[in-house]
Amino acid sequence: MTVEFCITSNFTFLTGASHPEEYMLRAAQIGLSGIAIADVNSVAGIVRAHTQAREIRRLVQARLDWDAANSPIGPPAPAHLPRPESFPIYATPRLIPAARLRFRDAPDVTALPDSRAGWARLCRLLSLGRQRAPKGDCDLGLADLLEDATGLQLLLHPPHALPPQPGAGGWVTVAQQLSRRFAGQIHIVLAPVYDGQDPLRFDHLAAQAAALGIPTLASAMPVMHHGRRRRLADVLTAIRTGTRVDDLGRAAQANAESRLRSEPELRRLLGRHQGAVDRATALAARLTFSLDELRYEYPSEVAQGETPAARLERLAHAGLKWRYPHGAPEKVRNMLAHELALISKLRYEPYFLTVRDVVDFARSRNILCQGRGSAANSVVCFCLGVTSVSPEIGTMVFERFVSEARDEPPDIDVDFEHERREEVIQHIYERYGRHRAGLCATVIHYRGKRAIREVGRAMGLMQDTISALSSQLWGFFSSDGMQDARLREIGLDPADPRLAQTMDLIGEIIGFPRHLSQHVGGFIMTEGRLDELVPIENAAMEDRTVICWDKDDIDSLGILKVDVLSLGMLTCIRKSFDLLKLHHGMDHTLASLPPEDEVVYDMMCNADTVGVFQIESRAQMNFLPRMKPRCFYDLVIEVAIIRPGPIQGDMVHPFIRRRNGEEKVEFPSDELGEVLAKTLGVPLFQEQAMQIAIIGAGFTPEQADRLRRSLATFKKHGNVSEFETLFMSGMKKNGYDAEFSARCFSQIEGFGSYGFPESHAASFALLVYASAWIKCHHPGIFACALLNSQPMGFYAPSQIVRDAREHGVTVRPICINESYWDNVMEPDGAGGLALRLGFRQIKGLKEEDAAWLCAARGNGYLSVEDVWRRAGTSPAVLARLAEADVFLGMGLNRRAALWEAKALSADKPLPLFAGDMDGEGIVEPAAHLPEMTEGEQVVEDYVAMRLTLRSHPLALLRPLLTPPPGQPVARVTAPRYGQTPRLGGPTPAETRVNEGSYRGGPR
Amino acid sequence: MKHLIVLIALCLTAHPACALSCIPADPRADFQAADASPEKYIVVHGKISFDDKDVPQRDPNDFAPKDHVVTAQFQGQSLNQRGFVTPFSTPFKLTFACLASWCGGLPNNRTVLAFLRQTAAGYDLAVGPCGGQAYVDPSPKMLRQMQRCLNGGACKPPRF
Repeated sequence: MTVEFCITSNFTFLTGASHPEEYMLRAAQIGLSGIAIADVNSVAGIVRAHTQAREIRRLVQARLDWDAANSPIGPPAPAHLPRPESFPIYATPRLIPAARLRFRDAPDVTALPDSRAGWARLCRLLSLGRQRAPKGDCDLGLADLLEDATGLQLLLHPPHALPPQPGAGGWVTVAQQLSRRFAGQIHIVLAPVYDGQDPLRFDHLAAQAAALGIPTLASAMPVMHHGRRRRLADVLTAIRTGTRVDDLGRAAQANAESRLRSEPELRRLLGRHQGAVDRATALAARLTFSLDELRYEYPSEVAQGETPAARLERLAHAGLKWRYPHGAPEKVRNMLAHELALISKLRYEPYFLTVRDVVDFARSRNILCQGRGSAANSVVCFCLGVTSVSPEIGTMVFERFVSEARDEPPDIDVDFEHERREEVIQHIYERYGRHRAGLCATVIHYRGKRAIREVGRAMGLMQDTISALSSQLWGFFSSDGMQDARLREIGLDPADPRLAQTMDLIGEIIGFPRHLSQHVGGFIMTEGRLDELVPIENAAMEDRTVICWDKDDIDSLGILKVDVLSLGMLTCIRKSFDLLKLHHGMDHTLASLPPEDEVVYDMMCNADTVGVFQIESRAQMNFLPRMKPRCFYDLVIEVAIIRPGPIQGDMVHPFIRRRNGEEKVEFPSDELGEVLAKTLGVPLFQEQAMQIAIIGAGFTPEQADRLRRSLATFKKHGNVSEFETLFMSGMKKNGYDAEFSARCFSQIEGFGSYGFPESHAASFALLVYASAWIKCHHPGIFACALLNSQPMGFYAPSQIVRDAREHGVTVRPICINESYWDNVMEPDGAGGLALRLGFRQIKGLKEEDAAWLCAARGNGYLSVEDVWRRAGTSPAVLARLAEADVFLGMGLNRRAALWEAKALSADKPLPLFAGDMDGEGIVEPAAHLPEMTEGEQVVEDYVAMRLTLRSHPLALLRPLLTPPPGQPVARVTAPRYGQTPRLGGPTPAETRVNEGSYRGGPR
Repeated sequence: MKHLIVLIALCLTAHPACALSCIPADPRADFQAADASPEKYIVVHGKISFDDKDVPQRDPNDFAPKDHVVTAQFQGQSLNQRGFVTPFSTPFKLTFACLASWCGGLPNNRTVLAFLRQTAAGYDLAVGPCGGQAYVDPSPKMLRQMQRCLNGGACKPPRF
């Protein structure tokens, strides 16, 4: 069995036409012993192939085990009987790590590391090239390779052209240079081009290689795993070159031959040069380096001279004293000892210390943070300050998350204030160095709209057709056979061959990687050089560097990741705490808020939760009066229940009925009773669903782990359903009824699209309580902080302001002499506080303009012109300010201020003698501008600020909509035929869910 | 107050023909001016409090140049290479400088980014009618700019 060394996968973006996983599967089918995914200046796709190889090995082993256990007994089947259809695969190809180095001054070279040192060299080389170039590019010269190629086998790609054609001879010099410098490490690739000249080319190259004393190696140079991808390969070329498929010319694939080849095929193609195939097989035997050898080591500075175990224990006990100044309860002390023993056994101390290190920095800078994730709700994390959720209220078992069976790092995500997370990120870079820390990548895949747009353009569809297709996106690619109907709806003919082909290609390209982006906050920190573990490259954002693997890749290789995420609500709570300290002298933290405050729960039961974290959506507000939360654990459930998992699994109503005593609490079995007791027998959390799979359906830990992983990547691969048969049969075997099993499984599927584990819900519940407490007791401060943390949350500023006023908060308008950029609390003159709106509420005003305006305000502005002169505010900005009616405090209404602003023509006042000289100024006739009506003012307020402190828009229409006295409303709502009814009411409020602020959910 | 750039105070007659034109204040410009100055400055971020009664009141008819000096208290952090991390508290002399009827101003009990000048007697801060030297409610970006300036990074104020 031979190998293929020069595969171009779709991680050579817009070039390779197959996924790395597809190559690996195909390699197993055609019996290759190994493949090297050698993308251009990249190793981004190789972990996927490696993971796929692992999966093939597992399946083959399962098949072998099955064969061994079920071997046929008795004589062989008679020869004349037809053999059952079967295509057993017993080949287990392996991944050979590689990259194809593309130089600015030499032909391509495929680099194959033969040892860990070789891998380190390859990573450093790619990091060097990547960090020299802007994001997405790589700039390497031959000199970079010549400097050092320790541990690398190099495959030189000679040009395709045959002499005497130009450009075919320069590579010989490079080959000589390389062979002199790296004797024994250099090889020449013999690859078919399928242009009818291959035999001639092979002869010529073999002769030159012999003259140079360099061995040749065989490769098919595939750009697709199977010939059927040829059309897609052409589409990708068309997208890359910005042209139509019809205009590709020689850039198109001449045929479908550039595919992965089996050994017999390759031998046939090479003819008398098939010795190159044997040499490739021989080289592969020497390339023993595997990605499994990448051993991750935790950074050592977190131990600061002590042993990690001693430091963790010392810090945890110090934290215990800090958290429980009057002595910790016996139960908590026992839990701590138990957790420390388990952490020590699994040697996870450096992980906890690393997270603690990051959190400690945040605390030293007064940056609010809160940990969540599988291991976050532990006593250790509570004592280290990673989370503020008291472990006493949790009911989770630590082992469930720090599993001995799953030898992988525990998961802790830490949310930080969204406005200040960058400080934490830069601290990590500073502390560990950019060569030891980097953000994970996120692979941006083709999704519906982009696929339609780019493939449509490449296939030559008209722009209006592409737009129409995009608008009907929801109807395509579904299994319900509605595609044709949707196409007809938008006036397209599904039978048109070109359109049908385009639709097929769109379906095929979906899921293809398009480019790499940075992960929202997954950081890798290592003891040794990170750039010897994985290549590092520049991100689009300034001061950011990312590695080329995404979170699934590093998860697969068992590399530690700390998620440094941002959460808008933490910014809001921090700002609220600051305002409480400033105005009321109250020094609160998340852990010090008065617990279980009845009044706060009363407020939540009334669904008075505009702006409160997580429970502010309409679905949550609708659910709160039915759920009637009365304790912290109710909030944990509240956070987790309105999610696709429990809703899809129809768990919400049974839970409510049981909670309200309308249905008997019963458990499917005693074993599941232990898992489901706290949620009244109804599975609500992701952990419970997993427990049901293990206890109820008899999943092995390995199967459960695969299910968990498939849940995490469901959106991308959608492979949860493959567990359905296993689950249903397991449940049936253990005596559970089919209906319950089906509900449980649909819930598991629901978790696939958005799972919510209890460990995350508990951390979020604390933020729910904190934000509700502030809103309940200090509505003005809460509204002020919430407005200052925008954009975040569910509601627009106008709704937040209206809600604050409904809670008795005095809200004052933006004033040129009183307001700042941020909204502030100011004395209301009656011993209380009023909320003064800030300049940030004005649409289109920049923070910089507001800063200058406030800095030069001194003891107040006298006129519009005064602002112009002193703050250097441009007339356009002044007009914006005037439109927001901010000059009212100096006696200028909106129109008068705008009149003055428009009179200023120059952007800047002249530096000298710019003032109106006495008697020289232009005397304008007094402008008697008409007063604006209340309605006009309201409209202008909304135009300028998207909110108003004046009348509610509907209040202006009330006289028109109020039925005449004596006329019942029923008559209005049930008009006679031909009569036009007139009804009034607010339109559904414009809501804007800021995904960024909510996306901190578990994956 | 070398770094405070007041371009012109033009007050030819009592009123109404008065106009004060300023270049917009920017902390990066203040930083560079402080850096170039032979005097020592400390960049601080924290709360400034003083007695409100001492704040000068505008008298539109009073055009005599006048400074109002109050004793204020600063509590917060001073800047070092790692940012605003060194706890720092001090009483200091706060001067509200006036030019004609325009005076500098600062709100009481608010978070401020300020450039305190070190003198033999302690620290002082002068705020003029064109602003500068003290920035109320500075944004995290502004604070990061100061750290970058101190560490020798980009510190160029915008062009006006």
